[in-house]
Amino acid sequence: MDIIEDNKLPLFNDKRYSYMISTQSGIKNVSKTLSFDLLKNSITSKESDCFPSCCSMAALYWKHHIPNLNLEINLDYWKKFRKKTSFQNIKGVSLKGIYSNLPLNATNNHNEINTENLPTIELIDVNNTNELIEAQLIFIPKTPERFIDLIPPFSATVPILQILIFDDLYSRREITGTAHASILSNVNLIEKKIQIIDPQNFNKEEIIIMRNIDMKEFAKGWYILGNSVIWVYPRILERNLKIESGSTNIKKIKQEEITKYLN
Amino acid sequence: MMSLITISINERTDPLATAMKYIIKNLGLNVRPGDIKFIKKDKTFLVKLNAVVPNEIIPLGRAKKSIVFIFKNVGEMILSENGNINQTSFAHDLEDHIKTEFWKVHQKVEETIKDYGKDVWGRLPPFKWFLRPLYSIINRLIIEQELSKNKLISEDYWKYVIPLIKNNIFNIDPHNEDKLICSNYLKLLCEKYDDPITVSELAVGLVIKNSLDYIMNELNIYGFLSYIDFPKIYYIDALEYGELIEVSYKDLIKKYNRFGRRIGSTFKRDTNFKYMISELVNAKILSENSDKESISGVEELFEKIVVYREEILDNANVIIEGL
Repeated sequence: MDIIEDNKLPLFNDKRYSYMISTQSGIKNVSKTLSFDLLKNSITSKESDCFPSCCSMAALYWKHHIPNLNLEINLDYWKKFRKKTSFQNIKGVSLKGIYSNLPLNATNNHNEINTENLPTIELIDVNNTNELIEAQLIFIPKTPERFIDLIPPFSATVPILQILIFDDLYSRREITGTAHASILSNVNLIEKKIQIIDPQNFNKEEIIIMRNIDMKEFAKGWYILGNSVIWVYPRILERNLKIESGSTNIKKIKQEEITKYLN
Repeated sequence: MMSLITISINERTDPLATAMKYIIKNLGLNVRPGDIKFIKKDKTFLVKLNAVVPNEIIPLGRAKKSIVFIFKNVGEMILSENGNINQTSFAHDLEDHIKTEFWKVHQKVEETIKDYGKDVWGRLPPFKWFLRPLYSIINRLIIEQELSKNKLISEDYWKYVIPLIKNNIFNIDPHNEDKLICSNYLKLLCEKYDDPITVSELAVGLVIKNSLDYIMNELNIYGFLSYIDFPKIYYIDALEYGELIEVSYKDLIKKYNRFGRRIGSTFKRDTNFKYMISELVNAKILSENSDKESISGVEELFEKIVVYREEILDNANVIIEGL
């Protein structure tokens, strides 16, 4: 058995880890939930296709909340998308792979998912029109510093859906496994738990069951994959949201990080 | 009118998180940042890339098993102090590199299959189509008993003769360097079978066993590779599972397309797969259950392969999951 090194970063008993699950005093009583219809919008993953499954569910989620989005609602359609996107290569699925297979009007130019300079344009009430709305979905990878950073996307009028990327096996048994994707359904800073919609967690009727995970356990497998999260929202929301990236704008790597990786 | 909402979060800016963000966007979720070093001279971070590749085996009616292979240093990425990506391995290079590493681990499975099938490869139609010059030269030598090297060079056939000499099927006459003659091995085959076609089939089988790399790299012939790679995919799964298993036809084709297909390999449509599988079953390389549309292996071949199980799994995590 070969366990991958943790990139020489101090992990679970150090200040960084404590910082990751700590909460700020003013907002520690926060618990936020995503309004996701499991019965209607579940796309189960049976093999290594959790990421495409989550992307399919994200599309269904947005269609559910903004019905005039020009997105397909048929589950079979999304199951086909899942199959088509998976198993194409050995290096795994990337967002580029998702874009090239999304059979909707998704953005082909991955530079458009830059975390900077997203425009804030005049406000339009999308509910005032019966016309179909352009269906481009935007996928933005983020690397939240702490669990509390998972809260702001829930504050949007329709919460921004977040796909978490983590090593499930490492979370549970501290053995290197593959990257796993799930949709964040609930963050409970009081109980220090998160709830995820895990496409591999389904019952006999193939309806996904929510999975509750202790933050401490989850943090292990999340940390080694850079605390990765992907925000998914339709392009139309850019007109209604001002999305900022906090410290990401100051991209310069801190001196203490450099010291850690010195030869 | 909706109200303006500002969404702002703090992000990790360490090299691992920055590299992972790029990987998610551009490379693929099986790629992972490995060792990270700060290069003082250039003021850059060198991030080695590892690959964590799952092989999920789902036999019919049996528990599923996942084998996770970890391949180190399959590529690299250079980050600036500002967190920009200065340089990185390309996705398609990584794909090739990881595939090569995957096959390196399973090289012995391929060797065993090639050896086991050495008596049948030459009989199978795609080998005859794509390697026709080989058959033709062997037949010529059997009939004419000697061939001129210079003539073969002028006819542009010499490149086909090289593997035949390497495999001791043709010999250069020790008294005349321009003359090619039958080796003792070829003479023995001729005595035993008395049929040039059978003899050339067996000789080509031997070339496949020992000189497949030459055929691919020097002759650029790939057309028949699926006949070796398709059973290889099945036997890798069986070996990693630990016993002969029954695998659905569709699952195996899907896996072959993902892991097994080499550049230039033919057979993309199901109809061709069916044809190929029936030939491999007739050749006793695979076995088939036509009712269930499932494929299994051959006990005798599996016994030769399973001895490598421990060695192959040495660098992997094995996860067993129930149905």
